[in-house]
Amino acid sequence: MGERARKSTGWWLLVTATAAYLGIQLSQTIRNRNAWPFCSYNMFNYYIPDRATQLRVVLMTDKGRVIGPADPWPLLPLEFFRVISFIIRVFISSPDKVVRDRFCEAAIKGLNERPWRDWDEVRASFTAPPGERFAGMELYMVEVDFRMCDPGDRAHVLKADLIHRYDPGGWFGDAPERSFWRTVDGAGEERDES
Amino acid sequence: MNRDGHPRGGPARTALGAVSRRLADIWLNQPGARARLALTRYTTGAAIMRHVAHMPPGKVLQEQLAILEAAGQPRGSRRWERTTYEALRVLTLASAAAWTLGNDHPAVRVTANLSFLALQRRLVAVHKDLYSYTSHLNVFLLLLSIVDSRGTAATSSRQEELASAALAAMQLYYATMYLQSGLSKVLVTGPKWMDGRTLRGAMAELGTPFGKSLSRRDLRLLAAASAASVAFELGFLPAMLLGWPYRHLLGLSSVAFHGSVKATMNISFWHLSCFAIPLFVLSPDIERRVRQTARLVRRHLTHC
Repeated sequence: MGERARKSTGWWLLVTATAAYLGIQLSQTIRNRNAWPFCSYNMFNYYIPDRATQLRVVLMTDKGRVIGPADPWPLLPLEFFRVISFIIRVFISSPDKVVRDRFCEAAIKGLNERPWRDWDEVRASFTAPPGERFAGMELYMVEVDFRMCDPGDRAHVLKADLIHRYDPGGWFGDAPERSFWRTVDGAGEERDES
Repeated sequence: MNRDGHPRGGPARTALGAVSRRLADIWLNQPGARARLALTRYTTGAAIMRHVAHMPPGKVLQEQLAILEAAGQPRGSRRWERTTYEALRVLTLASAAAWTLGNDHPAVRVTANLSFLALQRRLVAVHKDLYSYTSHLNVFLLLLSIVDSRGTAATSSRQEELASAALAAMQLYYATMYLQSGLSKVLVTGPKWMDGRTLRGAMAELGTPFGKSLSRRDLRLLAAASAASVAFELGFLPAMLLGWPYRHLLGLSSVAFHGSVKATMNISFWHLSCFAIPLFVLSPDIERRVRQTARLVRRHLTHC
C-alpha cells in the first residue's frame, strides 16, 4: 500500500482490530464453539442422515380438543432453535418431573394469556379455538425417515415415544396409546392408527 | 477511469504490486466511502431497533431461566433481573433511534453502544447454549460510532482513509461470515455435508411448504444445491478480493442467496443480509436523499 507514506494511528488501529476480531471469529469456527460476543456462524454444520429423531407436541384444550401433533417451536416466543435447546435441557438432560411440569405450565399459560405472532425465526404461538383454552400437553420424541415420511404431515413418523405428559385436568385420560399418529414401518408400509 | 472512478493505472508489474493496489483500493481508496458509511449507519440503526423491539419479553426469559436452573443449569454469577433487561431495551431503542437520525452527541453514542452490549449479554446469559448470532450489530454500531458516519464531505485525506477502513472492516466481516459458515460445514461434517441429506432433513423439518416439497425431490438435486451453497459460502471472500470492482454483483448474489434460503427454509438472516445492499450494492449518491429524509423526520419529531 505505497500510495501514501504514513497512515494515521486511527487507521492502523482499525486495520489491526479488524484483523484481530475476524481472526478470533475464525478460530471460533475452527474450534466449533461460540464464546460471546464472537460468533462461529456454525449453523447447520451437522449431518442429518436418512433417519432422525425430532420432537412433537400435542396440546389439549379444556373442551377436550386435540391440537397436533406439531413441531414444538410455537410453545415459547423464542427462536425455534432456542426452544429446542430449552426442551432438551428440561426434558432430556433432566429427569425431574416437577421441573418438566413447571415448563409445561408456564408454556400453556403463555399460550393462553400472551399469544404472539410469527416473527423471523420465532414461530407464531399455538392458538386454541375460540372460547377454549389450552389445558394440557404431551411431548413426544419421534423418529422419521425422510425417504418415507411426509414432511408436511407431522403425524407421519416411524415411531413416537411419549417423553412427558402434563395433564392436571385429566383431559388426556390414561389411554396407553394415542390415536393420532400415522406410522410407517421400516419397509415403508403405512399403519394408520386413527 | 475504472468503474469506481479511479484513474486506470498501467498493468501491475508484479503480483505484489497488484496485491498492494487491491489492498489500497479496499482499505484506503473506496470511492464514496463516507456516503456508504452513512447508508450503513441508517441500516445498522434500523436493524438494531427492529431486533430489540422483537426481543423475547423479559417475563418469559426470567421464567425460563428459573426453570433451566431448576433443571440443573449452573447459576450465573450475576442475578438476572427482568426490570434491568426491559430498561436496557428501552434505553437501546431510544439511543439507537437518536443516533440513526443523526445525533452524534458522545452521550448518545456511548449509551447506544453500552446499553445494546449489556442487553445482548443478558440474552446470552439466560442459557449456556444461547450464543448471539447478532453481535455483528454491536460491532457495526461501534465502528460507525467511532468514525464520522454522517456522510458529510471529508475535510482531510485522513478522514477518507478512516472511512475506507471502517467500510472495509464491515465488508470483510460480511464476507468472512460466509467463509466461517462454509468452513464450519467442511470441518465438522466434511464433504459428506454435500450429499444432499442434510439439506433434505433441514428442509423437511424447518422448511416452508415449498421447501418441504423440495425435500422429497431427487437427492442428486439436493446434493447439487448443497454443493452450490458451500461453494457460494467459501467463494464469497476470495471473489470479493479478486473481483473487487464487481462487488455490487456479489452483494446482489448475497441477496438472492438469502432470498432462496428464506423461500425454502423460512430463515432470512435479515439482520446480516440487509447489509448487502448498503455495503455492496447501493450507489453512494442515494445517501444524500436518505439524509434529507432523516433530517425531515428529525425536524418533525422535534416539533411534535
